[in-house]
Amino acid sequence: MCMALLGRVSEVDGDSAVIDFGGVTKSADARFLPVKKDDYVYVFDGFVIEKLTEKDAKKILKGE
Amino acid sequence: MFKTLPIKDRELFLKYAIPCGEVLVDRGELKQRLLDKMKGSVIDQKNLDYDIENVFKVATRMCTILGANMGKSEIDEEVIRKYFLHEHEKAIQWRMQIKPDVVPERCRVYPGRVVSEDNKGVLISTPLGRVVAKTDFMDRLKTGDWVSMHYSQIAEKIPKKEADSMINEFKERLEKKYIITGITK
Repeated sequence: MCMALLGRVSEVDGDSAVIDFGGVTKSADARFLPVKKDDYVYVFDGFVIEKLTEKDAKKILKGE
Repeated sequence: MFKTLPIKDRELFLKYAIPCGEVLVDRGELKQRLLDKMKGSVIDQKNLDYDIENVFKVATRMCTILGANMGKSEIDEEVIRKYFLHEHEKAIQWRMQIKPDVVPERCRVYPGRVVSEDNKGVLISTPLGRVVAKTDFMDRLKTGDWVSMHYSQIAEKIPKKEADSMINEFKERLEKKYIITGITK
């Protein structure tokens, strides 16, 4: 996914979500891909662009 | 499910996206053979009926978001240029400020001007220094031409006005002390 960052949704407020990138939290725009708490997502430039299964996400995070 | 907009100008999109493909190959997310085939198709202006949306997921989705915000129903040349020439660097900075664990040199898109060209190659002056460029996607260039570069690949010729705008954005980033490490000199 190029420069996108993998994180986990910690809060959702409408179209906005707070994403935890391994301790660094940032808000993201989830208008184009609705999310729910605890989803694993790829974010780029403040936009949620992809959701992953927990299994896939953990595999990727383990490899980082 | 993220619904992407259709890519209208697939050739232009690939000219900017293909240098990212080398990163994807390094990560095992794309086969070198497919990347070479796509590159060959752009050079030979052959059929570009590849699954671009899946190969270049990030760029396609970011162009979709940008296009939707511009009121577009497809990813046309205006969206592609706005993304790669202006928004792309902002996105790199976003990433580097959260997790500066990558060398983003392959990702950078920057303007340049042809200093010299001969059968050995084309030398380009850029805000990042002089670069010997790859010209696979270009017909003949002449000294003084303005071009857009992605890594060291020339994507296309651009008007001086566009290059000036990109250079001003680059200067603003320097003034804001944004992260510019990893730049190819």
